[in-house]
Amino acid sequence: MRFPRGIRTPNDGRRHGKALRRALAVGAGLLIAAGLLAAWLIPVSSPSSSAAPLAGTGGRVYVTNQLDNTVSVIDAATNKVLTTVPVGTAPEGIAVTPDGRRAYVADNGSAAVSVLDTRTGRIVATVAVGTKPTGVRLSPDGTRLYVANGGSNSVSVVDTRANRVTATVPVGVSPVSVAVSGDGAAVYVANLGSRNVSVIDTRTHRVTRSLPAGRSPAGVAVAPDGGSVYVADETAASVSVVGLGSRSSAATVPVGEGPFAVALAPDGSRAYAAALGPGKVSVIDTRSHRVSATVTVGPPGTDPFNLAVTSRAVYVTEQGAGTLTVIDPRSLKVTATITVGTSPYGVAVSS
Amino acid sequence: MSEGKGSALADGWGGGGCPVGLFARRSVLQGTAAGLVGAAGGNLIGGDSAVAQSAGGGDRTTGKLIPFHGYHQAGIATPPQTVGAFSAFEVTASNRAELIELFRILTARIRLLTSGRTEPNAPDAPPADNGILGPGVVRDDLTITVAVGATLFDERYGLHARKPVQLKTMTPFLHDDLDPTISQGDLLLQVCAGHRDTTVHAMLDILSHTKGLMKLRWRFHCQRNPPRPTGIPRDWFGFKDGITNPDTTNTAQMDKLVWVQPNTAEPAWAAGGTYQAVRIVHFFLEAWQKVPVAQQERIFGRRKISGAPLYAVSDDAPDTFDPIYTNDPQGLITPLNCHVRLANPQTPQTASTSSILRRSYDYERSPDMDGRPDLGHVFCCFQRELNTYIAMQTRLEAEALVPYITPRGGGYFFALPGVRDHRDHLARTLLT
Repeated sequence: MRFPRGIRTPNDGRRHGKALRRALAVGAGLLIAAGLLAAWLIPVSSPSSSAAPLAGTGGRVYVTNQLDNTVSVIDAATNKVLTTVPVGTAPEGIAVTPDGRRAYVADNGSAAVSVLDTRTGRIVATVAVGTKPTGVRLSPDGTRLYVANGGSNSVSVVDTRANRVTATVPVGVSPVSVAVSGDGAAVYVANLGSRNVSVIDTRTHRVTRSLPAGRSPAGVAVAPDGGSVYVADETAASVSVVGLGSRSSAATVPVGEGPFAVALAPDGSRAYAAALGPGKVSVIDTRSHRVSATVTVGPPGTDPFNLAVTSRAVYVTEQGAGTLTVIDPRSLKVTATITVGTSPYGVAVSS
Repeated sequence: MSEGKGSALADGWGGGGCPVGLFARRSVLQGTAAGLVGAAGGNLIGGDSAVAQSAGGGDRTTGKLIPFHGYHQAGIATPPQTVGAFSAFEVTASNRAELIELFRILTARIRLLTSGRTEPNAPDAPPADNGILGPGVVRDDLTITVAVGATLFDERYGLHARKPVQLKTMTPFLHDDLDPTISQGDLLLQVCAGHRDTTVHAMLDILSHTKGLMKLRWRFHCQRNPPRPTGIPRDWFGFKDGITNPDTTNTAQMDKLVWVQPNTAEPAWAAGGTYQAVRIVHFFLEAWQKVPVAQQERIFGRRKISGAPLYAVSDDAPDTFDPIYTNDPQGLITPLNCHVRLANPQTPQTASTSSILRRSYDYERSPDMDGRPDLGHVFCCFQRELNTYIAMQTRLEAEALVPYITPRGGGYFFALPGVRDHRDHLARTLLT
């Protein structure tokens, strides 16, 4: 039988890099305190792990473990899990600042966003947002965080300097994920229940357009050239390409059953969509709007869920298998499978 | 090596003509050596399962012998056989010594029955075996699994202090309509095999050898349907049932989810056993047939034709695809009160009570007392903690399926640890 949904074995793959050990000499008192605090906070169901401070924060991959209430922190150079830190209840979407100092986690079960200081591994703020927050994204300058509230049918705008909600924007039904335009002027929201994508003007914090986008828009990503958005259509086994300008084209790209997320490569030449059912990632050529390749990440039950794409790697969270898959974009081969926690949901990368 | 051949020649039956021909053909079908027919009266118990199984397509008993001895009983992790019979008994043993004798007898009979062999008949005596299964070793994937109910731990046998910690008599859930005559019992026997004659033969054997020590309280004959067209079998609702299940070949998972472990709150004798919950669930099929398929799918949380999750489009989508609804808090794609979602809400708070090992069957016992069709489920599950099942079923009290089902019987039991070897017997460590 396949690896069944809902059956988890506790992860015991925590490791600490050598660089980390050298860094522990500094701030030993803080380390001990953080370790004790984290050991107390970690839920009984997960194995014990420490929230050790990290020397430097560059080159990290962050993964939320939705059923463990933790975030796994991975060294992008070695693909090793550096540490696992506790966050709020049922962590889902995650975003990290470009300098890697702060990570923002949507705590789906506690109607809040946990703000994580990645140097100390501690939560430094908890911001109450709408109910059932799922997806989060930062503005390009990092001053604003946009949170899709799946239960409140709204997007919370969080001022990241004050860690306060400064606006709440009503959108469509059951928003799942958000994407921010390259210039920060617009936020696109995939509404699972309204068959459309809401476009929010970030100056006025109002929805200015609603773009029809298939049957069940679950994931949304903006092309770097700003000409279109890509929408994962969860119940149509396809990705919808929605043109934003009068001359841009629309398309429907079949990708396999259960596309839950889509992400663009930084250079805009490709989009990657995770088809959860069959366990594969489809690579879409953004000029032809055709699938140019597929990467199998595992058998049914692996459940590829969310994606984060850099120029060097495509990261895919596997909700069923409890792992993070690393794909090399040039060879389109799986180069690493990293054991994380139970039901990994979101992934974010800091450079 | 001579293969057990039953009583046919020992009492001269073979001299009657036709039956010999039949017997010889059966021997060929079972791949026996040519010299078998001459081995009349030999020691049948000496034969064992090493005799090669022929590939005859018309042989109804194609199957395997499933080993009886082991740390765990067979019939739990065993892939579910086509035919089942769940029988609950009241124990009538007068004292603990007689209770031990009952378990010794059960062990001996099950050991013999699951070996596929039958005892030879003595000449001029009532036959030891009724001959339903014919002569020879019958390989039909037979397992017989014994479980005890909470009532066995009452004042009769002094076992109260040894009761498994969570074992109790099933208290009704919100919409239950439990009929005491098909509920609970001191003992439950789960008999499963490839064909019904094997299960009936086994039950008749056990009944005749345990007369006076236990008496039948209720029984459901049941079966699992073949894949239509592929994958997990369908129940009488027409839905594939039992898709999401632990991997029974994964020892770590089975130890985590199913088998009682040593050095826990459970009594030491219980290690290697597991809690068994049985629910006799009547289906209201007339009402069900009035529900449009799209709504039926939203009641269960899976597509009807494929068995795939509700995000699937194609009728050919495999039923092995996982339902995922962590991004669907309002239940727009997978309704909040659908069957799969209440069984496993995919939240941290419910994660520890979302996994059980299901091994269910379908029954057909029309007409019921009111003269109406009586079909439904013999739901059967195994889990390391009974409280896991209780928590899950409590969530399911709110499910959209409620108008179409009535739980009418069953019960909670504890499936005993396995029998290690020929010196061991069922419940030995419980009773000594």
